[in-house]
Amino acid sequence: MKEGLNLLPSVAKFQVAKIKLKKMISQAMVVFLSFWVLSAIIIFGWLGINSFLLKQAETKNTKTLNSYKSLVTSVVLSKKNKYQAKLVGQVLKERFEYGSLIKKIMEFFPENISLKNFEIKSKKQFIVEGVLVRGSDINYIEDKVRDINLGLYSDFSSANLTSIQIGSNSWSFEMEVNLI
Amino acid sequence: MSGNFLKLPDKVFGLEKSLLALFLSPIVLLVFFLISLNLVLIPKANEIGTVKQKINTIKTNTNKVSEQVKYLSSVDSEELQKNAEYLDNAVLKNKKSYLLVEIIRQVANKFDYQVESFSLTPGEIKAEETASIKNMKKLPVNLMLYGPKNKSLDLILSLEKTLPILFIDKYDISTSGNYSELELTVSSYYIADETNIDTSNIALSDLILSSDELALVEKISSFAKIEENTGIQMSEFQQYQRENPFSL
Repeated sequence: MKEGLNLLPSVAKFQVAKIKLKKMISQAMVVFLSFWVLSAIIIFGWLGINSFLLKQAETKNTKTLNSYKSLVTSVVLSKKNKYQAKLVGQVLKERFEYGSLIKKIMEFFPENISLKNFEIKSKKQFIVEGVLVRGSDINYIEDKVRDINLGLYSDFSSANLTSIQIGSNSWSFEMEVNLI
Repeated sequence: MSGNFLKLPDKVFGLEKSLLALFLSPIVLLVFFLISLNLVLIPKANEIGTVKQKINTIKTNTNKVSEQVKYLSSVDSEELQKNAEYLDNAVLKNKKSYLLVEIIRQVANKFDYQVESFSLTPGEIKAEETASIKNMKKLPVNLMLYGPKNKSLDLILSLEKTLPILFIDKYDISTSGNYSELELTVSSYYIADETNIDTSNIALSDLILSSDELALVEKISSFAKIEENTGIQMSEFQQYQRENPFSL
């Protein structure tokens, strides 16, 4: 710099401006470099912290997985139970339990009316055949049919007497009962 | 440095060479910054994102697994085993209709009913169309039972409270005196065992029985369990030395 020193006023001014500019550039470079170094420190530091946290999380995960593996028998059994419960649930949902309804229908009729045949005609439809000695008991049957059709029984939707036959000593009837 | 600066003339584009030299270091620094930004800082900053994501995934997975571990540790293994047994017995273990006949026969015998005849229709053994689950098959059998009239209802009620779960598809009772003849079509489900249970990707909800499912287990636990006796007994093959009566 001393080599190119020129003491002419205009040149001196230029030299001063150049020195100022150089100083400014140096300062800007220091700021810029500091910013870069700071950014690098922050980024690498943050990455380091996160890598450490990742390692910790991985260690914890491995420990938890090991505990899980030790319970694998219970896992398999629980999963199997869940799977089977789902299937059995579907099976039971599909099933219609006739026993309790047959019982209800049987309880409908007093002892003097004996049931001869009982048939599940289709899903939710019964055919009941009975025998009674006194013709007056048929009124009881008709009353029951009326009560079912009036909706007095929660399990049955409708009923009708499909046939009545008079034999030598007895009456026989056939009744169709529909379930809800 | 300024004297030998790339052997350039004193002025370039009207600017002094020494002035240009002033900008050389900032330009080099800028280039270095841009290169380092693209090759180091941005990739490393992105790596932080990836690592964070990994941490979150691992933490979620760890929480999920530890919840399962906590649940499984709290579960009574004996109860788990008992539930498994009930659920196992709720369906047929073998796809053989004669086992179903044997089960019905055992129940019928309790009520003094005898199996008069039975028929199996292999063609009817088919995958249940209504069920969306594979390996689920319904096995029906037709039976004629004969026994005391007053126990017919008890028999039906008992059949409906038997494990494996039985379906009464057809019921026709004819009475004569104190005896009844029952014509039944009874079916049960055969469900193939789920052998491939993947334990790697299980949610906690896959392990816990819902309230409905618990009620179901409770319900079937009150059912009578009938052992499926295969009736196959192994015996040693014995060879007899007999003469051929037709030989000359």
